[in-house]
Amino acid sequence: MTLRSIGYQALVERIQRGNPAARVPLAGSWELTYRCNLRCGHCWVNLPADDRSARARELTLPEIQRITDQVVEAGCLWMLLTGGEVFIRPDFPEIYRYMKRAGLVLTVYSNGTTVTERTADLLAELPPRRVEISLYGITPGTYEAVTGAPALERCLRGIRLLLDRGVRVKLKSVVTRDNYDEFMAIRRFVRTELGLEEFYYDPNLNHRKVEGRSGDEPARYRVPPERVVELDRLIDAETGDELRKFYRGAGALRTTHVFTCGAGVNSFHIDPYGRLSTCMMVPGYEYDLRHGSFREGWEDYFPTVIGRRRERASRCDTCAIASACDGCPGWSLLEHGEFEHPVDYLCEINHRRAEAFGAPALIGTITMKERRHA
Amino acid sequence: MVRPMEPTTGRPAEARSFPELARVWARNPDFVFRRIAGEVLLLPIREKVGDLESIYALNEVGARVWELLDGRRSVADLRDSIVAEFDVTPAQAEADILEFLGKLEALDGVGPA
Repeated sequence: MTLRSIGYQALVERIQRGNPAARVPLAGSWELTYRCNLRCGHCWVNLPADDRSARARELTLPEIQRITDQVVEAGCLWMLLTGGEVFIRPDFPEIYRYMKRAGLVLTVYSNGTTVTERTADLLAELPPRRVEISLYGITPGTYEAVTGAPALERCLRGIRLLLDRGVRVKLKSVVTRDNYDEFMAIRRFVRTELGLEEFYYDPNLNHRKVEGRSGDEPARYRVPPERVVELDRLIDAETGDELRKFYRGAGALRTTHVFTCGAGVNSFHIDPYGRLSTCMMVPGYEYDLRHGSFREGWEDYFPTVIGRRRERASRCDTCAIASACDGCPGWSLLEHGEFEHPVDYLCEINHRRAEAFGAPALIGTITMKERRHA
Repeated sequence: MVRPMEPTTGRPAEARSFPELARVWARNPDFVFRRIAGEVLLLPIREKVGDLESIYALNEVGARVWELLDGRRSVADLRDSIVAEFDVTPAQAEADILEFLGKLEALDGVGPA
C-alpha cells in the first residue's frame, strides 16, 4: 500500500505514458469575466468594470458550479482563473471555494489592485498554487500611463496583503512602449523591496479578441523588436544566459496539422460566457457549455478543431528557427483572421534573438531572406 | 490531530494490541480524493506553500482503504475488507494498513473518529 508525494510534471508524464493516445483534459483556463477596473490600452480583452451588458452575459455562480463538476468529472486537475479582473466578481469567494472543494489546483491571475484583506484571507485559508500579479510600473506616472488608472499604491498594497499571509505570489508584466524605460527598475524593485526573485516579462501584445475597441489597438503599444532584444540582453545577463541556452536547441518545425501544442489534447479554455475552446487564443472556434456538456465539447467538438490539417505553405516551413518562435495558430488567427499566416512582429523578434543569442552554426543556417529581419 | 506515532512497519501481527486494531479513523474532509486517468490522488486543500508543486498519489489498495475510512469502521474492519477484496494475508494487510494510516496521520489526512 503506497502513499507518496509526486511532482506535477512527473504526474503528467506518468498519465501520458500510461496511455499515450488518450486525451485527458488535465489543465484548464477560465476567464471569469472580461470586465476590469483598469483601462490598459494594450489589453486584448478588457471591458469596463461597470459594463452591464457584459456582466449580464457572464456565467452565473450555479452555471460555473455545474460546469466545474463536469470538468472535474472529466479529469481536470489544474485550473487557471483569469479575466478581466477576477476579483471584481462579487461571487469570486464562492467560485473559488467551490473549485477548491471540488479538487482543482488553482492558479489566479490578477492586477493586484482589487485584492482586499478579505480576499487575501481567503487565499491564505485555501492556498492556490500561486497568484500571478502584473506590476506594470513602480512610479505612479508609469503605472497610470500603462493602466489608465492612478492605482500603483493599491496594487502594491494588494501584493503585500498576500505576501504577509504567506500566499505564493509571482510577479510579471507585459513590456509596452509606456513602461519600457522603467523595466529594469521594476525588476530590481521586485527583488529588493518585495523580496521576490522571479519576475516574468512578456513583450508579445496580442490583437484584441473581445469587442469594445479596435482589434489592433494593443499592437500600438508594442515595443519595436530591436528594443525587445535590447531588453533581452540586459535580462539574460542577469538570468544565467537562459535565452542563449534556449536558442542552442532551436530548429525547424515540420508539421502536417495546424495545431501541434497540447491545446485540446490535455488542455482547454472556457470564456466568461460559457464558450469552451481548445485555447484562449482561438475565439470563434467554440462549443457552448450553456447548451451542451463539457464531455460533448471535449469528445465531439474538439477533434474537429485539433484535427485540422495544414492547407498551404508558408515561410515558416523553411525557417531554421521556427521551433523558437512565439507564433502559433492562435496568434495568427488574432492578427490575420486565419491560422497559418506568419506573424511579422513575432518573426522579427525571433530572428533578432537568434542573431543575438544563437550559436554560430545556427546563425549560418538562417537564410538571407530571414536575416534581413535583423 | 497529529500525534507521535509508534513505528508499525514490520511488527508481527500477533504483537499488536487490541486497542490499535479497534481504533476507528476518519478522513479529514479537507482532503479531496480524485481518480484521474488511472491515477488515484489525494489533494489537501489547505496545504501551505512549499508543497504546492506536488500531490499525493495512492495505489489501488490505498485508494480502497481511503474509501473505507468512514469514521465507523475499525482497523480490524478495514483489514477484513481488504483481505476479502485483494489477494493478501491478514497479517500483511494489517501491517500495511497501519503503516498507511500512520503516513496519513502525519499529513493530517486522517484523525481519530
